[in-house]
Amino acid sequence: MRGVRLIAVREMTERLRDRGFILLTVFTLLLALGGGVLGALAGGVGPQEYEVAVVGEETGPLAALVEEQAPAFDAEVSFEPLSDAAAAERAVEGGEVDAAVVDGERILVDGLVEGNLEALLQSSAQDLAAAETLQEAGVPPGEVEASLEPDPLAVEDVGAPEASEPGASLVALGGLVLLFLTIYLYGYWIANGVVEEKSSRVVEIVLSTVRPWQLLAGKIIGIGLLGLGQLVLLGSLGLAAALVAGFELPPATFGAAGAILLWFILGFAFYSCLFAVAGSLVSKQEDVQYTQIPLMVLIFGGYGVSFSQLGDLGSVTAQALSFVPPFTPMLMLLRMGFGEAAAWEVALATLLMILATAGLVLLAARIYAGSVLRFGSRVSLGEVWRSLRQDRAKEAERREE
Amino acid sequence: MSGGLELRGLCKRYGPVVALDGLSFEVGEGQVFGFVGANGAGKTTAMRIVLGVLEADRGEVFWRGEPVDAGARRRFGYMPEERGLYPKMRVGKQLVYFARLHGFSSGEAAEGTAKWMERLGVRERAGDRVEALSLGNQQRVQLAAALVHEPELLVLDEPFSGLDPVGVDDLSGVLLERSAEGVPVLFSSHQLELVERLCEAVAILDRGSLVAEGPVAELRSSGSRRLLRVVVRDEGTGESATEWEVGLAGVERADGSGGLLLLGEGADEQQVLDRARAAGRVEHFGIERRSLAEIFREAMDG
Repeated sequence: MRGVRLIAVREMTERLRDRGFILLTVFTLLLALGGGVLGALAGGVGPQEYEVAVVGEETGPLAALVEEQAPAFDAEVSFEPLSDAAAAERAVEGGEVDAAVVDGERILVDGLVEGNLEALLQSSAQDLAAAETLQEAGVPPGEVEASLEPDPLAVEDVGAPEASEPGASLVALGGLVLLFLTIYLYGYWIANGVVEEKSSRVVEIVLSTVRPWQLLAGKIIGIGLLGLGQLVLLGSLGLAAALVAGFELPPATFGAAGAILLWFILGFAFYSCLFAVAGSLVSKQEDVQYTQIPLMVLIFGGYGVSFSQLGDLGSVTAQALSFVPPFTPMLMLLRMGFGEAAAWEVALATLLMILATAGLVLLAARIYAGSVLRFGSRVSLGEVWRSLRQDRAKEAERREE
Repeated sequence: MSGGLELRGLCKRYGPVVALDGLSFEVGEGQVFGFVGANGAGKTTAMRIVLGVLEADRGEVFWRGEPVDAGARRRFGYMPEERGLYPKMRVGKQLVYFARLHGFSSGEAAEGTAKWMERLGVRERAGDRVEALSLGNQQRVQLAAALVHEPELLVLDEPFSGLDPVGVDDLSGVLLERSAEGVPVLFSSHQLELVERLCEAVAILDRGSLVAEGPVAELRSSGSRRLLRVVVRDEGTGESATEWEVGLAGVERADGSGGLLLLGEGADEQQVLDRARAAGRVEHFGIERRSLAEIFREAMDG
C-alpha cells in the first residue's frame, strides 16, 4: 500500500506544479465564478428596488400598505415625500423616482414601469379602499383585516407524483456536461501519464520496486483525487459565487451535487482503467490519440445516448441502458435528477458499476503488465491477449510439476 | 554459497523464441561479475527476472540463500538497459522519490539523494528538470537512481554504453568501491577489455545458456587450447629461428614469426622447451594468457 500511496502523491504533486495544469484550473475557476455571477445577474435576483414619490397626506396609509405588501410582489419600495404634484411630475420625468402617488388618487409614471410596481400600487390602493368601505359599514377593525386576507385556496396536484424537487433536473443536466468533460479529461491524463512513463522508459525502474497493479492503482487514485478536488473546488466556488450574488439555489442542489460526485468517482474509476490500457499499448505520446478512439466513442456515445433519452427518461431503453456500466454514470445521474430512478435502481446500478470496475481493474492490470514493458511499435490487444494466455498455460504447467 | 545472488535454472520463452534455457550462475558477496554475450543472448531477460520485472517460466532466483521476494528486491539497485527518468521531474525530487519507492523514509531518502548527487557531481542540478540536463549528467542521475537507497546488490544492464572516458572511469570507481563494501555487482557489457579489467568472474551467455563461466583468471589460463610464446634466436644468423617446432605433437604456429604457438591436445611444454633450446637461444618462453575477447570468440565458436 505504501507504494500505491507514494505513486499517488507523486502524480498529484507533479501535476500541481505543472504550469499547464495550474493555468487550466485557474481558467476553469474563473469560468465557474463568472458563470455563477452572470447566472445570478441574468436571473434578476432578489427583490426589485423602487423609489416612489408621495404627495399629500392622503397618501400616508397607502404608503404603509404598499410597504406591507411589497414582499409579495418581490419588491422593495422606499418613499420620498414631495410638496406638490408638479414636483412629483418633474421627479418622475427626470427619472429620480420610478413613480409618484398624488393625493392617494393618481399614479404618475414615465412610460412603462419595469416589474410589478404598478400592480403593487394598484393592489394596495384597492385593498385600502375596500378596508375603508368595510370600516364605514361598521365591520370591526380585526375582521376587516381577516376579510381582506382570506385563507388561500388549497392546491392539489392531480398529475403523476414527481419525486424530483424543482431545479434538480437543471442541476442534473449541468452535472451531465460536467461529468462528461471531467471523465474524458482526467481519463486522457491517465493515458498520457502511462505513455509518459513508457516513452521515457522510466517505467522499468518503477516496476523493479512495485507491482504493475500498484503503479496502475497509484496513478488512478492520484489523478482521480486531483480531479475530484478540482471538481469540488469548481462546484463550491460556482455555488458560492451564485449565493453571494443573491441567487437562490434550488433546494435539490446539494443532493444533485452528491449524485455528481458519486457518479464521477464510479465513472472515473471505470473509464480510467480503460484509458490506462489505451496508454500502455503505445510507446509514443502521439500514438495515444489512436488507441483512445474506442474510449472516446464510448464516452461520447454515453453522452449522446443520455441526451437522446432526455425526453423520455422513464422509457425501457433509458432504464435498461442505465444498468450497462459504460452508460450508467451519465444516464443514472440524469434519471436521478429527473426523479425517474427509484432508490433500489440507484443501489443496483451502483453495485453493478462497482463489480464491473473491480473486474476491469484486474483485467486492466494484467493487460497493462503485459504491454507496458513492450517498447517500440504499437502493441495490439490481440497480441497481449495471446501472451496472457500463454503465461496462464505456463503457470498451469509449473503448478503441475 | 549464501552470501550472494544465485540464478538457478532460469527458463523464459517469448512465444517460439527461447530467451533463457536453464541459466544458472552465482555472484558472490563483494564480487564484480561481468555478464557477456551477443545481442539477444538473454542478458537483459535474465536481469529483468532477477529484478522481478519479468517472471521466469521456470527456475528461481536466490538471494542470500532464500528465494527472492519483493522485500529483498526493494534493496536491489537496478539500471535498466532502456535508460529512463521522469523528464519533467526535478533531479532532487526524483532521486528522493526512487529512494522512497525502495523503502527509505523521507529523511533517509533526502540524505541518500544529497550524498549521491555530491558523489556523482550533479549537486548543483538538484532543482533542474531532468530534460534540461546534458546527456552525461542524465547518465549520472540515472546511476544515482540505482544507488540512492544504498542497495545490497547492484544489477546494471550495459552501464558503460554511451559514457565518455571520464564517465567510464567514474563508474568503474563507484562499482569497485561498492564491491569493496561487500555489495555484489552484476553488470553486462560488450566492452570486453573493461569487463576483463573490472571483473573477478564472468559468465558468457549464448542463446539463453551459459557457454563459459568462472573467475576471469581461471578462464584466461585454462581451456583446451593454450597459447605459448617462444622466442628463439638463431645464434648463427642472429635472427629469429623458425620452423624448429615442426613435427611436435599438438603444436601449431599461431602467427608467422611472432613466436606464438597454439598448444592442442597432447602437447607437452617441456618437449617444446627442449626443442627450442636445441634450435638456439631461448629469449622468451611463457604461457600467453588469453584475452577475454579470445575466450569469448572461442566460446561462441565452440
